[in-house]
Amino acid sequence: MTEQKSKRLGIDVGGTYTDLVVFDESTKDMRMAKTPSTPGNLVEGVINGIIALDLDLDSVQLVVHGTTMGVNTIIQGNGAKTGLLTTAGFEDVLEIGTMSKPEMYNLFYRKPPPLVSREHRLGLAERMTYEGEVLTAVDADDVRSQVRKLVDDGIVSVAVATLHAYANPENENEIARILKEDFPDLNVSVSHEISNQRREFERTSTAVLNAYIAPPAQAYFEHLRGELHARGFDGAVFIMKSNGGVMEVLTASRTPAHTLLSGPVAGSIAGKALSAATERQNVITFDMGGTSCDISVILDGEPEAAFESQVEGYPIMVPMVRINYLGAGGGSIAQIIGERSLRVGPESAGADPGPACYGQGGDLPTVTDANLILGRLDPQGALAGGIDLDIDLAATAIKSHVADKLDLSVKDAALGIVEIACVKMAYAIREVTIEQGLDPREFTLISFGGAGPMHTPFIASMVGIRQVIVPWSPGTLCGWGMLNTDLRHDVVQVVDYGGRQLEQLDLADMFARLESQGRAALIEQGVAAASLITNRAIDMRYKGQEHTLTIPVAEGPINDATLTDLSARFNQMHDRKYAHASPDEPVEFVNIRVEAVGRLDKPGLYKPRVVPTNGADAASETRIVTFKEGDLPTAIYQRDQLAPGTRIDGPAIVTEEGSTTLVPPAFALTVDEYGNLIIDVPEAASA
Amino acid sequence: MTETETLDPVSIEIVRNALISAAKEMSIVLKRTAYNYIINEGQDFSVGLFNAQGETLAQAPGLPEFVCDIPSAIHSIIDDIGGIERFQDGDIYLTNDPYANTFHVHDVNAIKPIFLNEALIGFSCARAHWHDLGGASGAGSLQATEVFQEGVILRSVRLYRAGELNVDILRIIRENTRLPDGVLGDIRAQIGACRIGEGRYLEICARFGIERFQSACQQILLNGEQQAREALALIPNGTYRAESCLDNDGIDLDRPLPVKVLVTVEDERITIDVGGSAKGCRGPMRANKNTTASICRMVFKMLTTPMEPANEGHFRMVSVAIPDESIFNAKRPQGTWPGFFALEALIDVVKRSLAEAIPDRVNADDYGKCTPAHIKGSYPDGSIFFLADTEGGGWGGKPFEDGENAMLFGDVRITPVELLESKYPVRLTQYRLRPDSGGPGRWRGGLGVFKDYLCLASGMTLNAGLDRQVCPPQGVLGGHSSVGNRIVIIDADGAETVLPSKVTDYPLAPGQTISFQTAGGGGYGDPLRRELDRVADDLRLGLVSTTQAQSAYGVILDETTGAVAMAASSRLRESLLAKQNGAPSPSSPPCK
Repeated sequence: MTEQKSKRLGIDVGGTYTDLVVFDESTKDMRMAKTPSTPGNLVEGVINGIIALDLDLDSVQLVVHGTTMGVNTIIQGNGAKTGLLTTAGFEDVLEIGTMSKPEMYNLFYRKPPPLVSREHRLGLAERMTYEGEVLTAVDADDVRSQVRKLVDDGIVSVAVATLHAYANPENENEIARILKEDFPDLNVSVSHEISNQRREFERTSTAVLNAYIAPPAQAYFEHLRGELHARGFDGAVFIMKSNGGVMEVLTASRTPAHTLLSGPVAGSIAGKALSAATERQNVITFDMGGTSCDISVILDGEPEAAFESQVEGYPIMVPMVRINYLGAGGGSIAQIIGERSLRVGPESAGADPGPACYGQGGDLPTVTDANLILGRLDPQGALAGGIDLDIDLAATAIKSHVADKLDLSVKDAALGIVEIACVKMAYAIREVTIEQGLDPREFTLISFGGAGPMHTPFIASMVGIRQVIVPWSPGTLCGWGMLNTDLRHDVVQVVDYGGRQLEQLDLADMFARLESQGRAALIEQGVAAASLITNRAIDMRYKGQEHTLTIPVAEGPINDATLTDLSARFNQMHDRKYAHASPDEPVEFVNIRVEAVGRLDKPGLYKPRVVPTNGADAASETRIVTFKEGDLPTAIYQRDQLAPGTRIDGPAIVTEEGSTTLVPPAFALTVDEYGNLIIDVPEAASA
Repeated sequence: MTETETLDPVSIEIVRNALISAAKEMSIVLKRTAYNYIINEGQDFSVGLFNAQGETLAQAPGLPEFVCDIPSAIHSIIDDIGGIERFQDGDIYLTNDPYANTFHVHDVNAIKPIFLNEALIGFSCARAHWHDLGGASGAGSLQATEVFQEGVILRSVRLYRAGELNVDILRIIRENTRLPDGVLGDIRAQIGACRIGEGRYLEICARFGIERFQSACQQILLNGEQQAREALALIPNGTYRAESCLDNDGIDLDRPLPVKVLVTVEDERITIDVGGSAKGCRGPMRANKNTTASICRMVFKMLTTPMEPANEGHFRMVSVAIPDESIFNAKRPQGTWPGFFALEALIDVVKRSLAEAIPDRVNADDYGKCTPAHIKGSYPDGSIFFLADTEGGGWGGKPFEDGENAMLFGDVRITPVELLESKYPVRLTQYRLRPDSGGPGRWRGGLGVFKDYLCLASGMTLNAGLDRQVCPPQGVLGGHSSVGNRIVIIDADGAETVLPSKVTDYPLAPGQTISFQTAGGGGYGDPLRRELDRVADDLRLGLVSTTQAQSAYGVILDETTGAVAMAASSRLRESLLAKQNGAPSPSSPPCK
């Protein structure tokens, strides 16, 4: 690495803001920029950020990029005109779906409409068995004539998803080969290449999502690369994946489905990096914005994995970091249901009209309005984006919609609104800890996003978490997280088909095969073989059950001892998660998994450049803030004035651009050497 | 706690959230650890938390029919054991009494009383469908004349006594089911769910103190009641009627069984009287009166507070009148296995009776809601299998859009084709929407499906019930009826046999195909008023055939292009509507 190529750039393009974080290896200097996102031409916002940073791209060695482009494409419904080729007779699998009706009393429930219209879902005369035996081979003429219909109808992107392709990809590969040869302009997404698991609807849905977003993703990535190169950048561009790793931009162009949940995942990866740097093994990341919060668990230094999720109601079956989502944020609306039932959310005022205090026409009270009434938000202040807050509008909204109906004062109503919001979030954290057999007292909560640090002390207290960290620059944490990733490629193989007994040797062979597949994928993306590692895991269940638990498999040969150990660990996890285990029942293997990781250098934790000097005397003012304990004079601190080692007892407020940290009475805050705010939670406190 | 010390609304809301969260957790444990597909994939179960009076405090998504019904299970146990004071801390009861608290013997409640300081404070319950409980036919006969042919009744049986497992009970169950490993695995999952629910319930009580907790629960129910009352006020006072019929009782195949309701709304009360329905039958087409009442409560909830997690308060204004002699008042030892067909017809009939009174709150009849089928056989090693398939169908047209295609009834899922084939000796030959099955209407009913299984092994048999063959789902407000459910057996040479709507142990041969063809939903509003563009879309997408477009929708097609001739069609429709003179266009006649 030459002297002038010492920088790494993280670019996080979200729905509202584009965040850039640049880290200089040689000086250990870190700078951030936040610019409004530019829908329609997202690259423009990135360039604006680069200009704001006054960054010479020639000095940048690599770029890591996370984007909501894919999700936005799906939400806005402006993906490519997509077709589906599938096994004849199963053209409607995509529309039939799971047939589930989650809102059980709602007669008007609406299933998510399929992304491919029925006229563009065409069947092929081909058939595979579950054992991977070709029952009917692909007929090239049949493929060509079906595809011709699609092309004639203006289809530009095609998903290929046939039955049992996970067991043997031969037919899908043959279809893809024909498409490539005879229709080279078509964009093709092949199900087993993206999601090699059993369950035809979920796998088809994943391939279709990929096909739907691939053409715009390719255009976008090419545009981004072009603009970066035009400005002197000649390094590698990596794209953030839902599994917490990154992939080279050309790989991302082919498989953008892997980027769909990368936005919230960057927060989890930042939490992982922060937990490693500050030597905390178990953390929960909590990212709360205007309409929702994203929660993830990092156990023993690793984010929890998931293998299926949904994007806008569409299933996606790829390995990913488990992110729990809750529709609660600053914009969550408070209302009275029935006679005396106070509800907060899930309806949200969103950004438009936004909370009543924004003065943009919203007249329903929100959590943000309540925080303003309580003095927790600065009544004289403005939010990021320059929105002035109007406390009178907040008071009117809370009075007429909540307080008067419950015979409460406006302040008491506001306290209630915030407490209910906190309780809902506390339950979301319980879901990922206590309900999974994890003890919250062993976790630290990492709080970020605009609305997080104002609520997390209360939430932590409700679930028994003893410490909250508000990281340096919580508003751009995701961008920093992106600089702390590795290249990662996951492979999975179904192993229980055929009903045959797995021999140890088979298992070792299968793992070896997956490991070499994973390695090859990373080497293709430029990773040196020497810096590659692989991790193995296996999905297990009691024979007769359907759902599985994923158990890591240590390196080394697979023998009787390995298998005994696996069973023991499976029983242990089953008992922890589900409150019962049956060690005498036989267990079976369902899928084997390998993750190949190509390690990238990490920037390490940033230490604040300017060391402030004022310490605890740095309170800029005092404001009356309402707590359950009463109206208390509360010192207000500017974050950039707080030196490492500073200790502040609550009640106190720390403000910074884009976020406000609340230290309630009996809570104490210290500033660590990296400038992180560490809040110690007293036992048995409440909002 | 005195009357004046009502709890603050914030604490009430916190308790409410805590209870719902606890119920959800129970459901996750049950689903993730159960053995049989009906539970872990089909999610044919329900879990909930109840107060000491057996009133529903919270339930998790699952099968809505079930949870409304768990309180009757709690009450019947209390009756059977001689009072609430007989419960001991650590007890777990099983009960599946089809005359008091379940659809049929295969639905087994696990009920755990919850104690705090030696006082009973509530119940944690998990109900799930067991695969087999003996009886004349594996998975349950659809044609039993006595309950003994359906399976073993476990009435108020104490599986755990003060925390100690009664292995005798497990032994009885093990020896009376064809699938002991799966059933015992499912019992463990239900117990796990009950224990989780109990733990969470106690945590909430500890947090608030039992008196404040109980006060919060009372207020939660009062709030629920208030919500339901407000919605009930939107239904004008009056009497409303509708009827449908069941194909038959499974034995007397040519005798449809009427299902009739008289719904009376009078200020703050709604009474659903099922008295006009069939008095009896030879087959097992019947339900007990508690379950019937809970289904009536459920449909009331669908029409009034559909988006709220259920609690007892939502049901307090509902009365149900059931005569002594009725298919809705099953008595020992009558069979009840397929009685849910009658209950599902009842849901549609209640909805339809109110279509004119509250047209923006009802949809047309749905496909029939439950189409259970079991394909049974044995593996080469001699062990037996039951392939359980509950297929979805089309839902009734809505007041503002078409009905949903291919959907089940609740948070229930189908089993993927790739799982079915890897587990059972079958091959699916098609799984797709069934064109023309949606009832024509201003808003078309949703479409059912074709799901065809090719049998690959010998010695397989079929139990199946797809009612609504003779009397298909009806339309509302001028909408037409849909095409009903049916099962067709297709021989290797292509010969087709349409099965009656209920079969038990129907023999299958390798090379034969079972074609499940589920019903669409009824139409909403007159199909002559459906926009021509929508009809054209339906034609292009293959959802409606040219024949149906012409006959039901009054559309004229251009002879050369096959496209909808807009001007000509408009003229034809105007003249047809004029002829009707305000009356809806004639639908296919309901069963008579």
